[in-house]
Amino acid sequence: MRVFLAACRHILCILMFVLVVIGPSASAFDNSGEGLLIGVEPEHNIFEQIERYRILAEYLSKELGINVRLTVMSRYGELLKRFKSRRLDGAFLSSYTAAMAFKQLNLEPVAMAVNLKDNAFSQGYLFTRKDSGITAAKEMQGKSIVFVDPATTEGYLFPLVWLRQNGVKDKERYFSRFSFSGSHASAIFAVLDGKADIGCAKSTVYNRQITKDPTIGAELRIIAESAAVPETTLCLKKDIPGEVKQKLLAILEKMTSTERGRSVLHNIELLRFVKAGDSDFDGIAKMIEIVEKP
Amino acid sequence: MKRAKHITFFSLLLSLACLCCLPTVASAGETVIGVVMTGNTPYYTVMHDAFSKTLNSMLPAGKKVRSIIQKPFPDPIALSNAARKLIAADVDLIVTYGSPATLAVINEDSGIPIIYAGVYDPEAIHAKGPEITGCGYKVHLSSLFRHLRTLKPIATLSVVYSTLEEDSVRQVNELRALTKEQGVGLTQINVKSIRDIKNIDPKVGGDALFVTGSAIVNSWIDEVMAVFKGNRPTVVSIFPDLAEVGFIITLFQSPEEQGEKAAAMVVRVLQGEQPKNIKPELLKNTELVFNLKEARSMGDINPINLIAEATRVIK
Repeated sequence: MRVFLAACRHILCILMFVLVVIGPSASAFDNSGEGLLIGVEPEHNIFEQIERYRILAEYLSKELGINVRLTVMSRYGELLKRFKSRRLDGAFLSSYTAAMAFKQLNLEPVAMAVNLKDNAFSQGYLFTRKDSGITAAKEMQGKSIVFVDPATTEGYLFPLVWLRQNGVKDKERYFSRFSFSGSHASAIFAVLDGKADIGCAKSTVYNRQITKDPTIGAELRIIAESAAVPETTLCLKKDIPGEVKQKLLAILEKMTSTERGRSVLHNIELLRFVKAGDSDFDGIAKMIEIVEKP
Repeated sequence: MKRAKHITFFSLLLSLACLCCLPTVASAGETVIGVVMTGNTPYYTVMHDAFSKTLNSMLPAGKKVRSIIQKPFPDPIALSNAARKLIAADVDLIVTYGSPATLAVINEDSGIPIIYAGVYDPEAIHAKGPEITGCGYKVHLSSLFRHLRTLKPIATLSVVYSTLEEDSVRQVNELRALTKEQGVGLTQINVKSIRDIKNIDPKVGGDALFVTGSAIVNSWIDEVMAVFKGNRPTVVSIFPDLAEVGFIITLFQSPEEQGEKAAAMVVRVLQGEQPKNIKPELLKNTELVFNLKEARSMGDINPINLIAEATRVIK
């Protein structure tokens, strides 16, 4: 009896070990029937975004034959922290979080979103008000700067690299104040309103704001531009079966060929999706290297 | 001869009357600060309260400071008289709130150190000199107008200002250029006295009403708003809605912070520093306050952008 109980205890321990190891990290996709759970980084108007992505989720569910659910995260970088606990299978990621997710979460790029300007890439812009008189890094000393979020290429990594290349290593000492706006559009308005002297944002959002209101372009001056980086990339866990990824990529690439697909693309303000590769993120890895250098 | 006696007698009487009107002259060992603020503008009152509080907390133990406050109506003669009274009282330093008060004291060229606060874009009025320093503010009117236009379409804008106050006039000039550039009509409402408010046509409000940083207008803001009762316009301002009359959007810089900075500058001057060696400051911490409660009463509006950008939303 004692031997039997000891054996039971061993089996229980092993079972618990297996559950601990595979349980929490197992994706929703692995638990068949739940389908794919894809995270989305937040945009400026999160309410509109939820509605737009709901339409995409419905489309993908129907085409893929499995339930695809999309969940909008509360802030940039949240995906990296909560990917495992939220049991996500993948995410639409901006370039910085994608680069980090490849390293930390074993994700791989699948498809890139092409915006209405027929561009899958964006740039980082560093800008000021024209009437501020700031045109170079040396004139920024003692001023205030607004970044977007530490988990963005255009809104944090690029300006840090640019500042380093222009002799500014310690932003905390160089600027009178620095802050994070939480969205690219908010960084633009922070500079326009005078809440900060210098701001940064991605080119696509910057240009969209100017298209909406040309007076914005007349009031701001772009001081520096980064190299182009992928704007939004669908990344999936490497352990998701290859055929599912291939099928998903094919559905995304063929969206332009059906009326329903085009309507969904129109709703999410995209032209199409194209295949993404690791090499698209080489520039970001180089930027991270520069910033991490002592 | 009799006439000469009369003249001498009346001259003496006038001199005596003038002396009686003068503020008390400083007693030995005490520092006297003269203060000029225009009217009862809540913005300047809050600024002065912050100034006084900070000054008291920063003064070295045992240091005695007394203030003589002048609150004239913001017309050039009243302001000039207020400045002269302080000069005659031999104050050690003059603190001014707002552009008209600052200019009035500068014009007297007394050599007494001047610390200003609440001056709109001080560079524009050349508030410079060996005895002058202070803390000003600058609000980008284009930004306030932009936020307003995200809320509703604006075809005509009315602006309430006062030609008695040059900063208020400058703001109107900026607005005129801005509205012209964007094809928006501008109606100017000039308030120089309470009578001008009574004469405002309630229909002139347009799509929105822009309240400038005029001390007169902001002192009588309740009366201005009462004109539009029943035909309530969308009101925006570069002053905070301290009177809680229902401004929908305000883009402003903290009056408290300006008062605190002015107090810190005063302490430095009292410790022997020359004003010319104290760098003037232009406030940067702009606050955008959106009154959602008021906006809801406007009906069909889209406030998402403002909710996202506002530093404070009044629900």
